Amino acid sequence: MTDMITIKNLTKIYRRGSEEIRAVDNLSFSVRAGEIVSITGPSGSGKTTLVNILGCLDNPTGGELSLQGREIFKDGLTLSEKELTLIRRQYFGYVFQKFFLLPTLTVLENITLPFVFGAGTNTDQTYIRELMTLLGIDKRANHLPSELSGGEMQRVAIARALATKPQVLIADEPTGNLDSKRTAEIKSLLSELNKRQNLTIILVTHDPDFARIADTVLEISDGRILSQK
Amino acid sequence: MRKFLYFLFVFLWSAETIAAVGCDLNDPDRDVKRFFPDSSGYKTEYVSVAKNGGEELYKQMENRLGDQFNGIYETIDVPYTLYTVLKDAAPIGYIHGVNQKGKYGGMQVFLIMDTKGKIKHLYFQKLTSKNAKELRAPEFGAQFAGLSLTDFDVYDVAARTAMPGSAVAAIQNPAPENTEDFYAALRGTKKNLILLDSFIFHKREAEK
Amino acid sequence: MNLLSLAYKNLQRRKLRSAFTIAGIALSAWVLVTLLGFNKGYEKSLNRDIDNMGFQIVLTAKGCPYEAATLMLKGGTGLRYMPEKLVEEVASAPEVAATTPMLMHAEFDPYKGENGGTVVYLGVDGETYPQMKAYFEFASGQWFSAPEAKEIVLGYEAAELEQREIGDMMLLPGSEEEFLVTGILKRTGTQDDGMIFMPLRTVQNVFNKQNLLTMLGIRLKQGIDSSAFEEKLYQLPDVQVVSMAQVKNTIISLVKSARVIVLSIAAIAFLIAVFGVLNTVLMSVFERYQEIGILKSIGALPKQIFAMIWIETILLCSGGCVAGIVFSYAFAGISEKLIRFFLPFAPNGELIFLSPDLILSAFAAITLTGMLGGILPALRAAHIRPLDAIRSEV
Repeated sequence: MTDMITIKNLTKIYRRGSEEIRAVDNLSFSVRAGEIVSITGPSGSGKTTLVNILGCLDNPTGGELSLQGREIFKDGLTLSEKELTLIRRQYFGYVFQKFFLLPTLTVLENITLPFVFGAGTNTDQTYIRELMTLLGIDKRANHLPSELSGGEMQRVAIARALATKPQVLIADEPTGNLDSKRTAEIKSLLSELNKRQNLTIILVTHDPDFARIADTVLEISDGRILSQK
Repeated sequence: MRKFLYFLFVFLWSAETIAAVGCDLNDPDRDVKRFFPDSSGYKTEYVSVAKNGGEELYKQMENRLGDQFNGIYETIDVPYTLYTVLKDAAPIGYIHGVNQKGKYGGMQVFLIMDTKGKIKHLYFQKLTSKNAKELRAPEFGAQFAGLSLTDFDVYDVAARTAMPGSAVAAIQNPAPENTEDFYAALRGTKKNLILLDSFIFHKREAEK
Repeated sequence: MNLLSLAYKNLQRRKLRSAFTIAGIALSAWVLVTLLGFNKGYEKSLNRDIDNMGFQIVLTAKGCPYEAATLMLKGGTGLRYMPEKLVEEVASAPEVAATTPMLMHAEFDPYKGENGGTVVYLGVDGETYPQMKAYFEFASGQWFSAPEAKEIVLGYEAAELEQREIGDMMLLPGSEEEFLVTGILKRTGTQDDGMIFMPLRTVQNVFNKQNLLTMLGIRLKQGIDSSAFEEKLYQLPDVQVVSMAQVKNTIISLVKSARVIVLSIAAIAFLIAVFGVLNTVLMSVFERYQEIGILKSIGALPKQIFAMIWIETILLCSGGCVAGIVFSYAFAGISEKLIRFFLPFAPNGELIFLSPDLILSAFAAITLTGMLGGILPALRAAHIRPLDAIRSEV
């Protein structure tokens, strides 16, 4: 398996007044293509900051990051919003704790929203339909988000993240707003997607159960890796 | 600037016009005092055939006149001005004018009445005639004093004849060469009496 | 789906708020368009009214009252005369298309009312006068049969007052001579309604004013600069020039100064409406802070977010503007009635003239201003960082 994401001495420092907070402290590891990586740790441990840098939503303060061997961040050089957007379009899909669906758009319109902004190439209708069937929302195509359950909404958010066929899915607490039954559903779905599409998944979660589907579990504390299984 | 505005006003304004034209005293305060020196005041009312009896009355009045009403001064909705002359709040007489077509222009025939329906004076407020002087002379008006509608009932307006021996037949034309204006004066007087009858005297009888 | 339909759907999210914003723009656009249309229509109607008067310039002897009402107020005195040969002099000028001589005469009638009264006669030329007053129509009869005929044409109200019909006779005060009524004019809504017209020669002869005039009506050829010609007329001895162009310019400058005030108010109302739009869109940007961040995380570039928000602003402004224009058309009649009610000197005819170029320029101006106003919220939205948006707890 080739390396999907490689980081070396990655550091993110925030300043709060005169105080310096090292949210990510000199981390180095790699994520292989098709791997599921679960990042766990207590609140404020730096796991979301880490995942945001991995997903190119944020610039690191220092260190290096490369995607499939392509150097993205190096030596504290920051990228513009536009450059970050173009990289995101090419590699990533995102799912968040909140679903962030547009209330006036139907399920199908929400899923195909990235194409409105020119992310991905042309809409692959067959793929979108397969994806919706796989996620069990194919019968909901013309419904508005307000007509869906929480689990359905998160599945729509996953479909939207995967519509442009990204190589990496970043999921930050994807089941944080769902009950245990829906959480189990999402978990098995992610596992299924990983297998079918060889999708690299980076998960931030509090749920120890996710460890079961993960290939690697990183436990983070104070911006450092506490353990790696 | 004012000159311009005035100029523009005069040239550009569109007048709201009244369909039927009534007949008022030019100076009622002065005229009432002149005809009724002992009056203490007067009351002004606006009356019309349309409001007092409508089409039916209009037809009846036309029959009684013995001539057709025509022109803008004789429509059913002409607003007549009736002056009731008062002394200590009690009526002591009436003044009422009508427009009448004369030979050379419109004439305004005013009758000054007592409360019993008898003419006290005849007064031409407006008169255009070659014989205006003779018609306005007191001698001519005096011939009408004391007459009432009953006297004029025997006068045929269309035929311009009155029953021989009647009071109306005795009225002399002060300018025999101008019969048009003389007959116009008689027609105006009879019309005026008929209107007064329906506005005051007949109405009063009916109420009794 | 594209950016336009996305922007449209975004506006539907808060229907009531969008509707009120559009209504604000619509109202101010309505006022603006109506006022612009009024500006155009008023000038047009005033021009037409003045052209209808037949002559652009009236020449009178210095100090002579030139309309009947003033003459009556003065008790028929104060008339001044010009020599009739002036007509040839003025008519021969290359600028002049036509002239018509007039002699106004006021006579005291001792039998008009209790104390007598003044009667005004206007002697006109039966050939040239009717051509100048092309809008005159006869209720019955016609103009005079001959230049010195003992005939009278009555304005509508004059005929009513004297109870005259054609074929009837009239007398002049103090004279036994009979004059035949040959025509009664239809109502014109001008002072001519109360006028007694007689042939010019007859008035001159009867009232002993041979070879004299009180007024000379002048119509200029097309495209002649009337003020330059007026200057020329002032070279003539003892005349005064009453110019319709002068009257018109005075009125138009009056209306213009009023218009500046009203337009400023409309412009302020419009600016308030634009700030309303700005506020609405800015609020909706803040409300959708996270959502816009998500759009960026799924691939939207800053310029695309800018475009989306800007399109929302433009939709609000242009929608309101179209509604405002529709209102202007639909309520032009009512607006016109209102203007007539408040304006003392409204000319006849269409007061509010909404031409296509006026509509287009109003639309462009309003939408462009809206677009300018929309830049700020669009920039704010474009600069939202996805990370901040996702992190925020809005």
